[in-house]
Amino acid sequence: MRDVVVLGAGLHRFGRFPEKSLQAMGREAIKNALDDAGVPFKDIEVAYVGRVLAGMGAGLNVVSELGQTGIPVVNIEMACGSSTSAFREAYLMVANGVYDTALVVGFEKMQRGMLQIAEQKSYGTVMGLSVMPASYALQAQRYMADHGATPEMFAQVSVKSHRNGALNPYAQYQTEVTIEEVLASRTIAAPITLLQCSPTTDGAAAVVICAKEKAGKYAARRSMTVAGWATGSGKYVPKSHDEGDAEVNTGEVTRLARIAYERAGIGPEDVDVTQVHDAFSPGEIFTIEGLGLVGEGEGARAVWEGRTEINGDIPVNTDGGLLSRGHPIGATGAAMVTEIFRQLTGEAGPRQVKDGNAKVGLIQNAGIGGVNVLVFKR
Amino acid sequence: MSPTATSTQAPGRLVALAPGTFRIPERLGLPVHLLGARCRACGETFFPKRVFCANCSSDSLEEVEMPERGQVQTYTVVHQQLPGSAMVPPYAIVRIALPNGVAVQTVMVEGDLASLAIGDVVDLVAGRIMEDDAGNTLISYLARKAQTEKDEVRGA
Ligand SMILES: [Zn+2]
Repeated sequence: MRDVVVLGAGLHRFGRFPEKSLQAMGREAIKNALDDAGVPFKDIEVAYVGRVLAGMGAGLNVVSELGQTGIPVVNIEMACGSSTSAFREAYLMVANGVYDTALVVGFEKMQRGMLQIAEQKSYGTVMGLSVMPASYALQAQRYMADHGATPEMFAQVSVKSHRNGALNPYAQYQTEVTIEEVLASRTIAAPITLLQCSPTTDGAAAVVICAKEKAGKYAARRSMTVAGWATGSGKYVPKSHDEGDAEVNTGEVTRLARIAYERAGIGPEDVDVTQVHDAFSPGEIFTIEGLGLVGEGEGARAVWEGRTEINGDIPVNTDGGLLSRGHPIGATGAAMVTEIFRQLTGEAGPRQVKDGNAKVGLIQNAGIGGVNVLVFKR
Repeated sequence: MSPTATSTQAPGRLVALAPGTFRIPERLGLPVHLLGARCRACGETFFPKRVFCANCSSDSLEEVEMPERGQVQTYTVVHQQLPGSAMVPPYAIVRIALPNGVAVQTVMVEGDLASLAIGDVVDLVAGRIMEDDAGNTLISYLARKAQTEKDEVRGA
């Protein structure tokens, strides 16, 4: 396989834009990414599009805004992990020599209110079980009992995310919140309060990738290399091999992270900056454990002690994460890639980690249907 | 308000909200044995039933009854109304570990949410969820704190 580099990335601001069309938002993100990469649209050979709620053919409707060059446009859906899935498919095509230059796009316009994960008349809905934060809350309750964590530690994830979001002009929320405000916001599913839930968001994100051996002609100012990847859909663990009454299910993230690290030739200790799927505040705590960035049961304390802050030793979700940057489900993964690109190229401004010397970036993006782990190197 | 299992009076015929998940008991509040599936090839047990085994992909599975008593592995109290749900907050979702290794997620019957704790022994009982258009009473399995000794669930 060939080395593949990210040459540029771009966003449409995340937030609520009821008056703006999906085409206009997607067009802006793609234009920003192409300009950032110095790649003209006519050189793009294929587009992989992550999107969930938009109707049939939405990918083409957006991509063709840039021109009708006749390229294949591939729509990919894995709920909240759609655009890292799109990224992975584009990467594998370029790495295997099918295309030299590819565009990855993610976009979404969402309705306000709680994301409905089951159909209206399904058993899970009627029974009140298909409450998205509840699955995180169930794990959080067990985690608190097992590891002596407190609701304040989960709330701290949101405090940190909002602080980072305030430094990100593309974030949906650019205002800091106090831990008192987070804890006092209304409870959704204990211990998770409203300010520990990612919002519904409109937004778009785009990334341009290229075979490294073909990237020279673009005189890109900088790039990052795709160093490792892993993906999977939840492997069944026989009950006889289960570690007792499976409390916090980080097993799948752990399994995939191991594969991604091996492909990248690194270990968790080499990671300089990380993006994780914090749809709800416990997500950051459980995932940094699953990725091996901290030991089992140490995640909550790591957050509490500031280790995941921009100036901490394992900075996480430097752009505000899903909680503050926002979570337009199809666009989230490509926005994660965008932030890692800014960090590894030293262009993250006030959010920059490690004095601009970050060399390895890690992404974990989960969706109904699987988890994607990606590793990048400068 | 959580659903009631204590009232044994039901206006209509009892019908399972999710057909085939358990045998319909004579009246509300009685314990129910969930109907799962056991793989004849590898021995894994599943609830709800599967046609193909998740572990080995065999399609040779037999119906098995689940134990009606288990222990609370974890829980959460939901305070937000889910659109389309018959459950009115606050109500508790519990994940129950059954002694055969299967975990079941359901809602607690109406009761003292504040005293709910990990490790509580609970029974699965038939509870009323809602009436359907034909006047039937739609029921499902709910968790209710066991009234007997705590260690009875162990060792199975
Ligand atoms: Zn089997």
